[in-house]
Amino acid sequence: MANVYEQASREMNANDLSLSVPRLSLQDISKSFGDVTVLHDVSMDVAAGEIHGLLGQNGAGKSTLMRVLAGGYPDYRGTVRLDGEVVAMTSPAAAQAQGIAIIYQEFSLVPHLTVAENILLGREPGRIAYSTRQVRAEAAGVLEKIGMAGELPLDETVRGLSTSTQQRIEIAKALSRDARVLVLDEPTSRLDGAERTKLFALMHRLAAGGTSLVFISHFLEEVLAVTSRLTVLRDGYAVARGKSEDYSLETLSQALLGQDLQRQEEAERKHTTTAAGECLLAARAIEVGRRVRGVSLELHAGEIVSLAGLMGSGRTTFVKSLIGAVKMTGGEVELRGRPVRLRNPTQALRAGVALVPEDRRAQGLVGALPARDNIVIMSLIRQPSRLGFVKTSGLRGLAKRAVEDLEVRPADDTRAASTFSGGNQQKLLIARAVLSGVDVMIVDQPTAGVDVGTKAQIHRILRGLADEGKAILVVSDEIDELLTMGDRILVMREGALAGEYARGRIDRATLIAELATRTADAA
Amino acid sequence: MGARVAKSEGGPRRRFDPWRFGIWIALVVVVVLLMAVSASFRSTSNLTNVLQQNSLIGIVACGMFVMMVSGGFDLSVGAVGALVSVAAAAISVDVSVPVAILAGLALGVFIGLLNGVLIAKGRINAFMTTFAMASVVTGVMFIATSASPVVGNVGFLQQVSLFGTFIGLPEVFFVYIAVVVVTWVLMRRTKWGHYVYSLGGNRDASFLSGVPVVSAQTLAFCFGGFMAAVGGLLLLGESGIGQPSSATDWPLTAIAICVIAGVSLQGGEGRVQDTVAAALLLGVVDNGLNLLNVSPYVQPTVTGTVILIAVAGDQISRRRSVSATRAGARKPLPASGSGLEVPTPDEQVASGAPVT
Repeated sequence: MANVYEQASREMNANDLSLSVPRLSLQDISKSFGDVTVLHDVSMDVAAGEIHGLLGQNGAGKSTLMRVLAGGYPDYRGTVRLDGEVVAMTSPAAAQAQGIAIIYQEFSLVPHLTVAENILLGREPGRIAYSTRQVRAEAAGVLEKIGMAGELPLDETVRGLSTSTQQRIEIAKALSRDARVLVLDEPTSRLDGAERTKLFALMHRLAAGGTSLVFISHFLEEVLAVTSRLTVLRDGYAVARGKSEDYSLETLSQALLGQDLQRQEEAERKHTTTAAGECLLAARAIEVGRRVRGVSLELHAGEIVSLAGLMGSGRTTFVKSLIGAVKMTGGEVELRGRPVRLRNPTQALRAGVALVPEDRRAQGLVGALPARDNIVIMSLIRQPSRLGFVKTSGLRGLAKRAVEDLEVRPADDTRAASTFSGGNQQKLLIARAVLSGVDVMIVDQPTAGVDVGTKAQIHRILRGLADEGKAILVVSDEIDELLTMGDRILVMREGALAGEYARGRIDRATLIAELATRTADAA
Repeated sequence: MGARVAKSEGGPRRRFDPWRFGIWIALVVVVVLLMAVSASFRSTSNLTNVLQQNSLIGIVACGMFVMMVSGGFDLSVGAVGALVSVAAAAISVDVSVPVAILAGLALGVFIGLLNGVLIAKGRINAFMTTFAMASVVTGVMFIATSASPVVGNVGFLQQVSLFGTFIGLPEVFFVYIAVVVVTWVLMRRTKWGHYVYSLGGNRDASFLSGVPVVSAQTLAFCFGGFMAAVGGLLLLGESGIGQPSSATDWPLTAIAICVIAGVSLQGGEGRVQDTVAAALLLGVVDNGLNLLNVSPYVQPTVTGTVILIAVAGDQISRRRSVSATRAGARKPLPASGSGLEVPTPDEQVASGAPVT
């Protein structure tokens, strides 16, 4: 670990000399909350026209650093310079006035207004009168000025537009306010392959035009491919910095994780297949309209099955139909050999099948309720009630133990679920299903937007559950996750099963090709 | 020339959607049906009656419309209307009618201002604020009048709201149409109106974009108070007396009109012209039931059913338009703010106990 730090500081010195006056210069930024210091003298320079990568696990301090930059923490220590001039980031308005724009994962657009209206919001021409036509014309002019002429549907209402388009609107809005530094916080996490490529092209164009970009991402390959330099934070320290070309995936993840976690990840991969037990769930020729066409699968006790498929392959519809959240139009389900008809998730739960849904915030947790109340909810449904009254005392104790067992951090089950980090929310969701005692778990995107360390932990938890005799179906976008987790890997394409592979019988490249065939067909 | 080319690139703002005119179609269907079955309904005097009787609540609904688009609503419009009618009645006798009118309007704006400041600046829930305000206003009024009606001297108001006609239509209907036009212009052709839509759609995003959200929403409530006061003055004109216990049904009727017209309870969208059809629809149904000798006990049930059907139809059309536009959107986005003020979960974890 020591040599990483040394290497990092060598590179820092080398790079500081090679730069002229940087566009953005953060010097010895520190930030504490009470006794806890989350940033320790972090320095970072971004040149004009540079795309700078910022990496770190959740809790490493990158969001804090960006919030300092956004004017969200006026009580930071250290110096922020813009084009050599010292500026104080005292409020969001001050940061905006200085030309700092941050594009968060959750966009800040008005859904009912048109694209043009959103771009010009708050700066409409005229004093009192408002003219749609004028706003539209001016927005078109703005787009032209920032080099995005004709790229956005100015007259469309924002509400129905895709994530990727909304993101471009945010970018256009920021640039039209003369942003000198554009920070993109996890901009690719909700984009598909083609959209990502498009975004990267736009980023390069903006950089070529002189804008400085800070690119925050969990995807190391992306960072290496897109950025010219990068900074890695760990535990609030800048532990590595330098030219992106000097890093490989290995050295970068080493810097991110430290060495211990790295080894755990590798051990995980080498896990050998356990003998599969009794068939807990069998789906035969499931149909859901035209979206799912005759999909069959079996889940056995003690095994993890990976379900791969691109967006639109019907995989999410399929798993939802298994728990009755979407109506099947054909096919049948057997649980432990007995045919069942599951009309809704409640029946599925009672029969012992639970979905751990994707999109923690929207579909998973009741954010305002304490963690423990979230955890016990599935158990309450499975527990026999007396005239609608249930005993909660015992469940509370179990919830507390589940929080400890799954290493939820902070280990306080009375905190509102929404205050936990993404990875820990995911653990709460898993705890919820586990506690209810179901024996079939369908896990949709178990680690989306979760940092590498927590991801490894979640993988271990799932494997542990399988070893205890549960059957687990993992649905994911991440190739590596599918390959690491699955004892078998099923590939779905255009609503049907396109292939099944045993662990080790398919490699990364083949799986990607298998999935991508559809894209080729569609195009 | 350049503008025209640009326009064709963008394409039309929306495809033609018959649901968009659903409320007008419903109005026409109901009117035609009633005309077919009831001779007394289709008489000219009855039709002008309907216009005369529903203009007042329509005007109040215009105020409610603006407040609802801003993301709020106002349960105190009835109390304000009653207060204004009582106060104006007293002043019209003691001073003069013009002063009574001006004072009444000022009173409405003042109470709207109080509501607006509490809601927009104090960030107090609109339901509680205006519910409490209605209580306070009603209480003050009962104390001042000992709950007895106040006789006014209101020839002019009576002329406008009850007797006056112009080209065969009641004068008050023209006042209503003028109010609708003014509301439309303010909402669609001024920056303030645009800001009301924008802050109702996403308050945080509007705030961060530099929209003066507090003053824009406060003004929306002033406008609502003003329209409630106009309603109060017309009410005084109709009855000739200021009645402290009147107008209690205004808030919910006005909200119902707006909801039937497709105004979202969350704010951010709605068309004021549609509230005209909604107001007339409710009025026509009421009137028709009366003429068909339907028991007054049954009438609320029918009115309620109409509201439920309208709202269900609106919901269906919304789902359709969402699924039509969903094609490109992979996941619906939560339209929340940028999160500058509220720390994200990750951040809070970082602040409390760093996780590695």
